[in-house]
Amino acid sequence: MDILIIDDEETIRQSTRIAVEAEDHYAECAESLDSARLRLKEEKFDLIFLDLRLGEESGLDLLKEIIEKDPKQLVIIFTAYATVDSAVEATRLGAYDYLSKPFTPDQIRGILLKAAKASKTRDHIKVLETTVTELKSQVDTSAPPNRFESTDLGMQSVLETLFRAAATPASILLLGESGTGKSVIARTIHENSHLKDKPFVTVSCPSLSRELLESELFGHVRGAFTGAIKDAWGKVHAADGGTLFLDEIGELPMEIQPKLLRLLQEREYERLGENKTRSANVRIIAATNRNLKQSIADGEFREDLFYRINVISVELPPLRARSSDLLHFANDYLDYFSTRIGRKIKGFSAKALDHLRSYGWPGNLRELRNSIERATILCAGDKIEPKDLPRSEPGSSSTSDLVPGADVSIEDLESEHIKLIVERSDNLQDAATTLGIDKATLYRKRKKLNI
Amino acid sequence: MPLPDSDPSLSSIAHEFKTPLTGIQMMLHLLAEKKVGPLNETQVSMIEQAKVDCDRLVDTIQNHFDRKK
Repeated sequence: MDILIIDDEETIRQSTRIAVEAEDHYAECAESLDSARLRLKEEKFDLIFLDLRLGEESGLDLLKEIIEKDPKQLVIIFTAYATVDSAVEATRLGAYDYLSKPFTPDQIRGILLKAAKASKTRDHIKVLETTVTELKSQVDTSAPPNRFESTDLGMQSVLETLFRAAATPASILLLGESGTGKSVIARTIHENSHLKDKPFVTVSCPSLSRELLESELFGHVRGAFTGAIKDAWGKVHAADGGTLFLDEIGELPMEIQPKLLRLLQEREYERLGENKTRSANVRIIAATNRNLKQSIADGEFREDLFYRINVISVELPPLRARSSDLLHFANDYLDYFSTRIGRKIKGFSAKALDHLRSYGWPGNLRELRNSIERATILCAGDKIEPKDLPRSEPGSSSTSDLVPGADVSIEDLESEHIKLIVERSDNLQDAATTLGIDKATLYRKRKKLNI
Repeated sequence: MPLPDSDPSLSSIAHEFKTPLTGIQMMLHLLAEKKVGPLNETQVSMIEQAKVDCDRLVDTIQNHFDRKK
């Protein structure tokens, strides 16, 4: 443990420090409340020994300040006033325990053992709190259990690479369109790594202003910016020893990029508004839907940072390229939402399945999930029909190129048009009527165009 | 914040005795445990005697103030 000893008596400071260091802990001393305040501003200590009376000063004043800042800070009070009053008052204010003067090295050792256990429990609670927050956000997104098997060859290769890399400390860069499951994959990498019992902390790069994002990442001291009313630790500190997931790293402002690079290379950083250098050891998983090489060419992303995070890089294929997986996902979502909503839906009609396959899914898994949830609610019968599913709109899917005036052949345009009309018609006769052709012509065209 | 105690004068006297005694007791124990380096036989014997005297003084002071409380 890192320990601060605050006492105005040189002999007590020195002897306590020797007793503490003999037990393989790191100890520092402060002879007054002011010098202690300075050290506490610069450094985080696992345990503080604090004298109840330092000359004319009261240790209880500092105790109050310490506990106000961090209610979980372990503080042991040294007191020559071994009365019930002083002990009760110190404990009421948040002290972990107290030692009556005169004490012995044996008593110091006893209290160190007790405090070490408490400190370990406190760290464990910190990890659990982080996990609960992450799980809560997962629950909030309401999704069925994640599926990591794939029948798609491209995705199989991606998963194989990721599961092999998970067990190493290498940085991982996840590329892919929005909604392809990068966040879910990042958490899965963490859970399959040697860091699975350590924190997994997510930072969403585009969600905040530069200053707030920097503070969210590295923390700040009071007064560092307007609204910084007290010192705060950042997510880098929270993720120390574990995994830091930087979502949409392509949106990371240029001003913060050198600081992140330094954290990755030197494992060093500073809180906003503070000069003290701190260290943190985090494994980075980053994700982006941007073309980072283009961002480098445009001067929006540092090349050195790109190469530092691009140790293992994989591109998650879009859903439209994973047609074999698409129906598995759709069925998973349908099972999940029909159970959740309490509707007995047997599955997808044949036309709905065709529609699922032909639709472009520009929003990928996220869009599929939302569409199936909507379809489960709106479905009138016991099967999902094409009308319950999203329709292709110009500019919103892979079919976006297939619009009149685009650089496409007449045959492709005709094929797409016939496909859409057939999908939304109740039968082929209706489709043929809408298209202005007879049913036999429609058969021929479908055969020729392989619709 | 005022320091809590029922009898300020008694507290102050207790503090004046117990504070220097803490340093003395801690240092004697650390020396006897050889936490700061090896000792010869004469040094060990002298420190053990000093510890006995110190422990006696601690008992006396603690008994005295316990009785007064």
